[in-house]
Amino acid sequence: MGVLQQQVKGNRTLNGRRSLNGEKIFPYLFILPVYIMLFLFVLKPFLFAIFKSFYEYDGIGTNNFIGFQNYVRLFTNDEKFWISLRNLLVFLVGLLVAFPFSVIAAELIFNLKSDRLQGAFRSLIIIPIVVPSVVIYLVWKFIYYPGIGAFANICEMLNVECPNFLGDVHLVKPSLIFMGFPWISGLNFLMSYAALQGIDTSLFEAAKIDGCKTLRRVFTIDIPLIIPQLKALLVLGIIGLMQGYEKMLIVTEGGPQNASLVPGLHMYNVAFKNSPSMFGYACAMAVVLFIITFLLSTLTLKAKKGE
Amino acid sequence: MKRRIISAVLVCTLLVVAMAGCSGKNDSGTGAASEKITLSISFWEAGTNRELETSLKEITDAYSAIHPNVSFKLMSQPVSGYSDWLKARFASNEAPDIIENQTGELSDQFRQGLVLNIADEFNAPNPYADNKVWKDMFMSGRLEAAHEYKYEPTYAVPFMGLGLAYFYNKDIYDQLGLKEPKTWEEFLNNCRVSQENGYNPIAMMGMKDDAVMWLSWWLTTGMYANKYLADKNINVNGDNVIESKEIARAIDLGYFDITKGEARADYEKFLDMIEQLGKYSQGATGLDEAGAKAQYLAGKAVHVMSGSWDLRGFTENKTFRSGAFSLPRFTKNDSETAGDNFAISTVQVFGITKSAEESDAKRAAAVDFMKFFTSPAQYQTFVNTAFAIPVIEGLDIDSSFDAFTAGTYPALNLFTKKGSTSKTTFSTATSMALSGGSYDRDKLIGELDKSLKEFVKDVEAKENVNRENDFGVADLPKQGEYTPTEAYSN
Repeated sequence: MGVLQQQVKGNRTLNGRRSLNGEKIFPYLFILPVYIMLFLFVLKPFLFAIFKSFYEYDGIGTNNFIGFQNYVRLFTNDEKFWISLRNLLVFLVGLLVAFPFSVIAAELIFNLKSDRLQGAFRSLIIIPIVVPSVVIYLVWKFIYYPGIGAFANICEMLNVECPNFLGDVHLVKPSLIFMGFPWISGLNFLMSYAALQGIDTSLFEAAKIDGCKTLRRVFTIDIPLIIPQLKALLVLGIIGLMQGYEKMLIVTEGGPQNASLVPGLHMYNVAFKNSPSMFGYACAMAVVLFIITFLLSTLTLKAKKGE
Repeated sequence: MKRRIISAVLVCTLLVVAMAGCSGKNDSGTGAASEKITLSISFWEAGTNRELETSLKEITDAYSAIHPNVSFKLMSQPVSGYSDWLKARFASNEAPDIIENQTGELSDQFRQGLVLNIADEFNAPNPYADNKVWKDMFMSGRLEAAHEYKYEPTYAVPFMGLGLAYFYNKDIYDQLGLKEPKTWEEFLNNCRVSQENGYNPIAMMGMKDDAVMWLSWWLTTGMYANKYLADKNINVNGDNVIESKEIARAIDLGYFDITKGEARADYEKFLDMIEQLGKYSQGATGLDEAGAKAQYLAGKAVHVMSGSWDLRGFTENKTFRSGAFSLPRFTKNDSETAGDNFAISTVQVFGITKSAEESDAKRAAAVDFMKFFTSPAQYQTFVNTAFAIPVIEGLDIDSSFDAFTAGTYPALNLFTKKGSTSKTTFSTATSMALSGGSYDRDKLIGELDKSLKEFVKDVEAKENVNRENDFGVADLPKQGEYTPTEAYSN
């Protein structure tokens, strides 16, 4: 017993000494820079935004503590914010409509018999990832332009009146959602394809022996087995949608008549387009958006956990 | 003997020091010649061929040739995002020494102490222009425009005029037998003829907020400026500008109520006119600047309203001959209060920032360079290279600039005010009227009224004014009496 106690004591001492000698601390030093960077460039701005959301702050001179006034204004006196949230809901539906297309593409290519063809199609879908999204938005904008765009020329050939895709309050949201048709996102495709490749091939063989046709196999084996990855992609998509505004900024600037305004763009406008800038107010908006995104992501993840 | 030698050496040393001091004074204010100074200049490049950068490079090189201790760092920025870039620079204390900016933003930056007061220098001679007093070298109204018609020359150096006009396709005009219109009626007639012949009369950049505001400036200034500027309840200090404080006061005290009376009637007439333009502007709300210009340059639209910055690009296009005419005027038939000599134009300005206060020599060099830049010899280079609308007197300029240099009065910013987070603004209302779609005017005007009320609150917060202190209008600079202008007549 005494020997054992001594051994335990010795180990403790040894462990402690190891810590002191740096054997245990040393690995942490390697990851310390990452945490310092994370703190400086991710956590600090985030905390700063929460802090400044209680200020009337223009980024240069004005910096007055005003308590919850920014939040009160946001919830009681900012119709644009609510409009932007409603618009966001429509774009969320658009996201859900567009989402399966990447999975379908992954399934189709995964089921090709020829490895060469698989590789070729894979490359064709993945290569466009390197094209900056700004370029894609600008191309689509040119396609939509009244009078000179591709659709306008088609309408002219058919001798029919061309809709004002980006200038009509009823058409602008569907037009923005339609951009990028057939909606095969490189990342979504890649992750779905990788998930399909990860399925144990013995399951496919068993299904084949049981006489299961491809379509049935897709719905009974493939999709259920890659659901965790699809949910992760969906969460990423929702987060991207909540935070993103580049498409609307480049294509419509939120118009016409706020019909394509999203919270991110509204936040950008009050922070940078207003004179003087309303950084404090924009920070309050960012905090509210963070809470909404956090809740949506948590709900989706909980659903995943439940399954 | 030894003492004499020491005395002689001391006297010589003193003489050398004194002469060195004298030579410093003759250095045109650039500080001791030995002190190395680097001046950074930021600007946005609106032209497609980097004309501004090219001309600035030429002029800065010429300056460095006579002041070898001064070098320059030219910071060319894209138009889009320049303002945000500048704000970020100020926030991180890394603002360039000399900045190009719009008059309104520079005015804000001056008030915030970010831009230096150079009033004394404006009243001093310009050594590069036969010692003429610097402020007397600028064209009439340009220094006033640079200071938003509010202040004496204090902080802003105008360097380029910016005007709006209608560009038109000369080939189509010739084909349809049309003449450059002078009045609103003539312009609408040209649009009607163009449409009847299968052309889109106006490529209107209705997606661009600025362009929608240009429409408002053009119509309200020409039609109503005389009326509202002469109204002492609105234009309290009687100058040529209705300040935000004055409008806020007028709204708060009920002198300007968009929901009823004359203000409503005027605004409804304004909307009628926008609707008329909308009929001749196919797909306006779906066109941004690039789209409208592309439509015009493709020969599918006859007119496009744009600024002097497009003069070279449109003039040099190879597809057709492009011309420009001043924004059509309004006659007594259009409005009882129509007036002429109103300029839908402004100036681009340079300001010297507090970064230049790093040393006295640097500050002096920055001011001296501005004087050098605006000297006739250098400025002519700038105008020729950048195809810029001049702001300096006595230059040999191209006649194509005429369409952009009309008038010396500022635009009337009446139907443009908005609350910072308002859902419906004058801009969205104009967009609705342009679209050709149906809309509920009563509801629209009700929404605009809400926006104006929010605007009042914004002004109260921003300017620290309210009803109790009469919105601070007593402190407005330049108290005077407004003199109406005559209406245009054929």
